[in-house]
Amino acid sequence: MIPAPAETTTSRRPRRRPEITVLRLLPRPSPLHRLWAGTKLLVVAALALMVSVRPTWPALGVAAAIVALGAVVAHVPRGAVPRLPRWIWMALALGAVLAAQSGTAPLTHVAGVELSLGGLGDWGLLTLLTVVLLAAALLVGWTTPLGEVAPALARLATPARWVRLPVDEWVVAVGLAIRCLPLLIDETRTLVAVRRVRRRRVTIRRSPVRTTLRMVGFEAHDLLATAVVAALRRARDLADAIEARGGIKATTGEASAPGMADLVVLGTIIVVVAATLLL
Amino acid sequence: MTATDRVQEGADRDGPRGTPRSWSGAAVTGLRGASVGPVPAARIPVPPWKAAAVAPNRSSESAPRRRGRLRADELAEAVVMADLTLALCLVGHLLPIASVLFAAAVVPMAAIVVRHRLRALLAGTVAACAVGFLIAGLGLLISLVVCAGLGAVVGWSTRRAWGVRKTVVVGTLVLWPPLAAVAVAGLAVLAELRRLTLVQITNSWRGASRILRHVGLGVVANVGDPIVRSATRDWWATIPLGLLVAAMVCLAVSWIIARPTLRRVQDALGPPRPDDPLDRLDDVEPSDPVPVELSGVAYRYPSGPLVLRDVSLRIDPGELVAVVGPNGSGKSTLASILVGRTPTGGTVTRPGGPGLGRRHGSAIVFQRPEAQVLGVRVRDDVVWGLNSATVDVDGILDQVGLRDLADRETSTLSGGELQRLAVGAALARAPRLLVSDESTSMVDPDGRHALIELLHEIPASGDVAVVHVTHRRAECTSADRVVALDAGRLVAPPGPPPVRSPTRPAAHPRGAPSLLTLRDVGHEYMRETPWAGRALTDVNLDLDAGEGLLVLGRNGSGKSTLAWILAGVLTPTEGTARLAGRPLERCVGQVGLAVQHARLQLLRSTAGADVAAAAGVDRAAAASALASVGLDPAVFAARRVDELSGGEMRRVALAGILAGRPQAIVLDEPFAGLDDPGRDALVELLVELRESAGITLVVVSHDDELPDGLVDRVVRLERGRMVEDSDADRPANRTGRR
Repeated sequence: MIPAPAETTTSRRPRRRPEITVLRLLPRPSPLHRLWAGTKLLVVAALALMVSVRPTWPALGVAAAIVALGAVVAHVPRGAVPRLPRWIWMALALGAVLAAQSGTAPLTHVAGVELSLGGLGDWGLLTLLTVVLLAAALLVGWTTPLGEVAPALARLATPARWVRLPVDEWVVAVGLAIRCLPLLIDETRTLVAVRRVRRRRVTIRRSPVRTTLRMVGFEAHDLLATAVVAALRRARDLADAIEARGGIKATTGEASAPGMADLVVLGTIIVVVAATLLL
Repeated sequence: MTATDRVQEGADRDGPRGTPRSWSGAAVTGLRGASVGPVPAARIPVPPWKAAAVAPNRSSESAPRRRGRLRADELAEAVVMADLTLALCLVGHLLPIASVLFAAAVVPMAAIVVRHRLRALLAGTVAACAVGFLIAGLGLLISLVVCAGLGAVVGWSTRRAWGVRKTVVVGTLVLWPPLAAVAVAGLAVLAELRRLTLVQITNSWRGASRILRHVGLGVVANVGDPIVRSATRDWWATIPLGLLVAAMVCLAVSWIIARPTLRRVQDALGPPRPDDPLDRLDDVEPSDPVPVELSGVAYRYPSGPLVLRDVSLRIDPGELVAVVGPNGSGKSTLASILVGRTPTGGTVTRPGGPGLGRRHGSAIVFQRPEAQVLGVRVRDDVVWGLNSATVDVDGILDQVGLRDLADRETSTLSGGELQRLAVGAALARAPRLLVSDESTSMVDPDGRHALIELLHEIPASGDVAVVHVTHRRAECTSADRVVALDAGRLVAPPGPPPVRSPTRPAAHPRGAPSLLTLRDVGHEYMRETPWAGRALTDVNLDLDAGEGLLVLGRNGSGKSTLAWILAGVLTPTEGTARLAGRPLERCVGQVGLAVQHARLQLLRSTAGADVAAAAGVDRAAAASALASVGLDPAVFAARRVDELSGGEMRRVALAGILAGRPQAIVLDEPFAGLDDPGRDALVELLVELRESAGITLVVVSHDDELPDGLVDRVVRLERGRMVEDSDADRPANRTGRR
């Protein structure tokens, strides 16, 4: 989201910085792109439900198979996969080491060190469940044109209308939130760049630690307040634009509706999930 | 039928001086006079969290109570704040110092509650959750819901000016029971998931205690063993207890972080505006906006100067009227009155209601291109708020010249294309009156010509009246009629504009060694992903000390990327960029960067404090820096940043850069949105800086009609390549180009 702060690499080729790859549509069209957005959201929800109720290896296998099939159909290239920050890998490694030392049966010995296969198995299951669910969400983001999300939600949220929840308002809000996110990301980037260019020559008196902490506090407040004020100013422009279009009105999603393919996919998924849960 | 708007003095409350743009009920306002807080921000050493405890909170009188559906300003603020929360949570997931960012992510949510109803928070939360789910699935969703809950409590406590203790107590009582109930119930139902998680915790601890015993810390392991055992066995008690502690800590931390920030936000923006009488008027009256006749119209912002006085004019169907005047002459206010704002003096007569944004009503196109697009795709934007079946989208896109782009995402369009799209969205409502409020001022020359041509064609295509508001006299030549405004009065239309010639670089004495050197610099965003985009290719550049360079290019030509590379905040993916022999990315701060959106550059609440903080200098140095950019320190040092006009913000930002004594300054679109006098004054200042202080200047712009003497060299970028260099014969460049 935000480029990593002042990072001076000594290697000749600069390391790839984490950049925002969220909410980007894969440019190459595929059958998964053509599926109704609502179908994809429902499938992800069904998979999440399934592995929450039955967090077992078979259920994980089924979910992983569905996600993998989707990735193949959608022609997801390797470069699309986000690079995780280093601390997550370190946390995962630590978890693995602790689990291996837990002494839970069955046990095995490698080079004189006792390893707990039971502990490692549980650790792997929990980790992989998280990974599979994240991959499923990413797959939806990669293959769904953002403009189709809000209309699909409008249709999916029909039951909420019966209990008189302000669904139309929310659908408009989702559409605008998707529209504004890139603008805010740009603004955040600029803010970070500005902060880096500003010089900080702090005259350290009394206690250096306290002064540093105080400056960090000041800076955090400065950045946060500026971000909020700039965003609210953007909201003023946005509100002007909304008023210029006659205010907030319900835009019904008549343009987006599930088709035959969606029914087939949903039916199959329901059968598979039900079978996994019952067997 | 005649609708006559009568005088309503003081019914309205709006924007900072000179920029009276927000007539829509949008909330962001600068309340001058009232906004000078009890703690003078000029004295630094009270840390913000202490200042918050000392200063009484004045925001309790904000947020007018409204009922029913959300209004445009409430929804807009909720959405933007929700996006900000989402962005902070995302970063929180990516960085190990996550907890601090989660606490910061509470602030935008709290800002919604401080300013608006809980209904707005609900809409914002739903929006953030939907987008968050698309980005990272369920994990992010939980963080967002927690942020919303904490934000609700902290926002409410800010409104009621509660202390930290009361906030924590009340917040815990409100948040903890449902949180604990949901967590325990969820784990009770999902028995297998619970078992797996608890086993995982037990295993981890066993592993840890074994390692601890190994390294001789058996004591810790012995103490921990029974705790973990009973905690996992009695999970139904442990989890609520843990949540209780977490809730209290989170509430306290959020309060400490949020309170001073919210105070500054409220100081900067003032409370939201009360309801606009415009809507109610409109609901009962069929729209019929032209012919419109203004007679003796005046407008005054509350506690502000009179921005319009005694304006009388008539707009008829089928004509193109140009309204011309410098910044602050009241022309934007006039535009807003034409589309329906009630003046504070005089009368406005129309056959029906103004019908802003309604079918056969009036429509308005604003200045900032990216700010008025509401749809994710071009096609969605045209039909936003309309029944898509009733609109001939392709016909409209054809008319505005965007036919091929119907399915493109709007975030990929250039400024000129976005403005034509805005006109298209206006045309989708078949308006009888179309007002363009400075729509050409932030667009590159090609985009500008296309836009003016389009506006010119519209009156002929039907009985539409078009009013084009501009500060460029050159744009008035094709109008049927020209109305000139100055200081809020109608004046005689000015003569033909002086012909500006393209910038001619002045000769620059050679001989000094190069200061900035770019060798084969290229940059690609998101490389090695399917979305890789090339911004720059093979750029070679040598800049001497004291040289002035203009980088010309259209929107999207890579010129902003070049500006960021020159400032050292972006490391190019190819080639080398050096400042006096050192890699630029290690010299951050030695090359000043003035970003296009000057507000983002001013982080402190007053101009003087910001200059001092930007350069790390004391008050006196900051004052002299302000003076050097032509702002009187006695007036401006204590002025709040949010009360400055656009031109003044740019000057303050420049003062902050200058006070840091940079070797070079990069200015990204420094003249966008400034009128001719404002631009000339800034140019004069920059020329003087170059000549007297010997500072290297790099001006990045899409405008090739800058006054002479500012630069002595011009390069042109096209699709990331340097296609033209007025200084191409220089030996250093030739070797660089090889």
